Amino acid sequence: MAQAAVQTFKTAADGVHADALPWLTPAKALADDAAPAWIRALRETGAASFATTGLPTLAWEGWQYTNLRPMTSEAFHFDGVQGNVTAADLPAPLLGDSHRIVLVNGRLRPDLGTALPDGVKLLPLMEAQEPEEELVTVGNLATSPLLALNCAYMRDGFILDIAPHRDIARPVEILFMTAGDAPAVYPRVLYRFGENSGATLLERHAGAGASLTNLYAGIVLKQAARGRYYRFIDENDAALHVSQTVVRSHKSSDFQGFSSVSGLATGRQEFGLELLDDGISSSIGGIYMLKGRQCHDFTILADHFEKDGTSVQHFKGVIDDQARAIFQGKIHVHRPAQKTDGYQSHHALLLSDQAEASAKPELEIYADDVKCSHGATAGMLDNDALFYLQSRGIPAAQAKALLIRSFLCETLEKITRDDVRALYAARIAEWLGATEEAGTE
Amino acid sequence: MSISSETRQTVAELDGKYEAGFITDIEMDIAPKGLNEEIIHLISSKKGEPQWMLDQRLKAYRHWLTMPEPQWAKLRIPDIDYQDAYYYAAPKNIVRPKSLDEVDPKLLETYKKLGIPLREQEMLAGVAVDAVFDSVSVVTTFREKLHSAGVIFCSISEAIKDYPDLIKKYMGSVVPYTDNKHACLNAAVFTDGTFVYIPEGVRCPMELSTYFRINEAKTGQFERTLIVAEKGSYVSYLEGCTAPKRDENQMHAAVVELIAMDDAEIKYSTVQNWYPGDEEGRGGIFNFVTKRGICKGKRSKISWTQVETGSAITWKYPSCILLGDDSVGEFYSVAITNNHQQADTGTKMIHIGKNTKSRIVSKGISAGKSDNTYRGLVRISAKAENARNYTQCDSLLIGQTCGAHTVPYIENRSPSATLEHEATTSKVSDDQLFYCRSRGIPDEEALTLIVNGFCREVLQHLPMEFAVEAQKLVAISLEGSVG
Repeated sequence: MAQAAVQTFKTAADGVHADALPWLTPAKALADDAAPAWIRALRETGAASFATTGLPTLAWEGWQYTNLRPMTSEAFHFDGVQGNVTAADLPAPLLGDSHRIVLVNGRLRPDLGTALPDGVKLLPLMEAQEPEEELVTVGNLATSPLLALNCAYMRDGFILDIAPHRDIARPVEILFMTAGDAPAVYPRVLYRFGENSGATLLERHAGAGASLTNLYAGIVLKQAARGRYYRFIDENDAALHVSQTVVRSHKSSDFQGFSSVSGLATGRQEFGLELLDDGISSSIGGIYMLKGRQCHDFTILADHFEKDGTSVQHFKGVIDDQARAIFQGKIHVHRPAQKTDGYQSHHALLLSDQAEASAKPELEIYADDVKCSHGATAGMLDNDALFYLQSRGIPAAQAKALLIRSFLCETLEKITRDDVRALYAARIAEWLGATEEAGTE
Repeated sequence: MSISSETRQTVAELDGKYEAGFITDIEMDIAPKGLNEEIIHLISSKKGEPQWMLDQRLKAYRHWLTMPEPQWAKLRIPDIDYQDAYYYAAPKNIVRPKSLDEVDPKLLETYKKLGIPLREQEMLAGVAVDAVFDSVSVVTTFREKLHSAGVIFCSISEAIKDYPDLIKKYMGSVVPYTDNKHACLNAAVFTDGTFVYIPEGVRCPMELSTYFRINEAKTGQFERTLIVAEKGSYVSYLEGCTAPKRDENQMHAAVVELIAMDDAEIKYSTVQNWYPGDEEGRGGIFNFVTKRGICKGKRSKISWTQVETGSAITWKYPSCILLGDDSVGEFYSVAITNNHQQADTGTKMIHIGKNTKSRIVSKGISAGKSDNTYRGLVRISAKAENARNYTQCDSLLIGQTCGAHTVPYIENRSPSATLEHEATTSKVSDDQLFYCRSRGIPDEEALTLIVNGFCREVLQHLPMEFAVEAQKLVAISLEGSVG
């Protein structure tokens, strides 16, 4: 609440924001493509909105802690970056038995993916002739310039439909690869779980070298659908990653999402959980492991519109060196949403003197018969616990790793699939291994 | 929940009940309406201020013109017409009373109605009172006794004349005029307030107290309080506020600055009961207050306790800058909103020194159509080794048309710091009400009982004399909200 940085949304009503233009210039390349009319219209709306706002600055409410200065439009190339990626360049599938959809620099590459099972249909965005409501109304562009920018560049992406009443047993992996000379990609995807369907999606972001990913993911759960959505940010320390994910849950549906962050330079993942009807359960969790000068921001909004909803936000992370972590979580309970159960927690572990953790766990409540609570802590490893382990003959470095691992793994307990839990545990182990090596050098 | 006819009747009787809502008819000396440099010259000359003070005011005023309104709070604030208010109003007859006998009896009557019987207070040892009526401090009691202890307790206007060095040194050192628009306006037009100076090693022999009263229509009240506690001293200070019922909004933009040196302790308690407006949200005070204390010395301590029941809009964040090593900051708050009241209140704890500790306990109670927001910042700077913070924010909702919000900002740059934050939101449970009812306690009383229990942790930090008053206020504020 720094007094100097208090003005909310600066909009230049009467003109174009000076910083905005370079960001919009490359979008002109899209002018001649054969996009359906509704996509063209959205591009224009997005560009017009972004022109008046530019990128958010530290003076914006909700952006006090994340500085987008490292992002300059000149550093990245939209289009024209040839990702000469072959099957041999792809990382191994996350799970041996999963189906796979591959996108390279935002473009779908059916040649690199696998066939999809019955009941799962993939439609490239540009082939969607009719406007998709869930992709048109995406949020307030004036307050989300990155979303506006994603609209302005709308081309790449797809709509994935899970047929009603189908349970897709094997997970579907969606691999977003970046390759080549600093690509800027703006994918827009829609995952739609039909009525009473169930599926597990693994969304993975990988790539070597500098890149900018600005993703919009819409997730829709129809009545009684069960959606599992696990994200892995496995990029590298030159990658910028910003994403907006909106989860629209309908009656009695059940959503579980999780995200791990280890590879990126600067990133912000926004999740909006919209509980639109009665009896919905929606949860989102995540872990981050940051070092060097990495900076990551989880910004979460659980929006309860109707009664008997449950939402959970559960985040933990470790921060080493000069890294910075931000958690901004909010539970918003609208007036009709009686009997809401909202829970939010964020715990940060600071491993170095220069690490920094900021949190804004927020509640906005208009219904009186609700249970909402949040907890936030930040601190260092417990010296007593370290001493205890050392007194039992465990070397300091190992004891430290053990404590960090147990701290982070607690968030994984709610993940229903053992194999997915193992994937996240492996990322924790890998990060600890790398840190330990760096420490002994 | 069913309403007994008795409750209904009580509610009807209580309609618009605000005990302090009377107007006192006193001849006033009022400056012309509006705000410009001439008015500031006028205020300064009315108070017979030295040139340096006038210069400071003008500097603040010119800066104020360039500042934007703070927009970040979760409040719907109508556009304020700064030109449509009086910036100076003083009771005519009592320019400089030497003792209570010289005070206009009508004024004394006013304070008596408010439950501040100055005369009695003078008799009963315990509390020294400085009373501010509209713009001017009208009476300060117990000055002799305090003087013999070395304590300076006077109006800020007197202090500017009598202790210019202290004022020059400390005023604006904690809340500079550039801080925010409301504080800046205060720096330009403040009319009175209280100055307290506790010399080294002195434990102030009694509780100090100020009562603020806005009486005149369309006047703003801009008081300034400055408390300096030298090494090893202790002071407990209480302020209370009231205003008459009026249909238009009136503005109160105060600045409070506390300075605690090594081993000093300042306990600052507020019972804020400005007129909250009527059931339809007409009228009421806009309470835009900047309060900040600095724990300058080692092992110093500043403790804020506030009971906020009044005002149409409350915008207030009593804060602590914990500069000295081992210093302690505390914030205990009860904020109650009913009808159309809006409150956005909380604290800032800025940890700079080593081993600094802070504790925040905030209880927000919303009823009617009100909105109640806790907004607080805990910042641990990189140098604040072993800093600790504990924050607890509990909200209670009464009825289905109110809102309760919590917006904590937590920033940690020190790995050895420990921060804990907890928040809950709940309602008065039907079980609790049923239990009380089955024991023959009417709903209204039961609610007061439960809410007082909910606030207990905070109320017990008030000085004893005022804890009782605060409990009564809790009851009055919630009247009409069951059913």
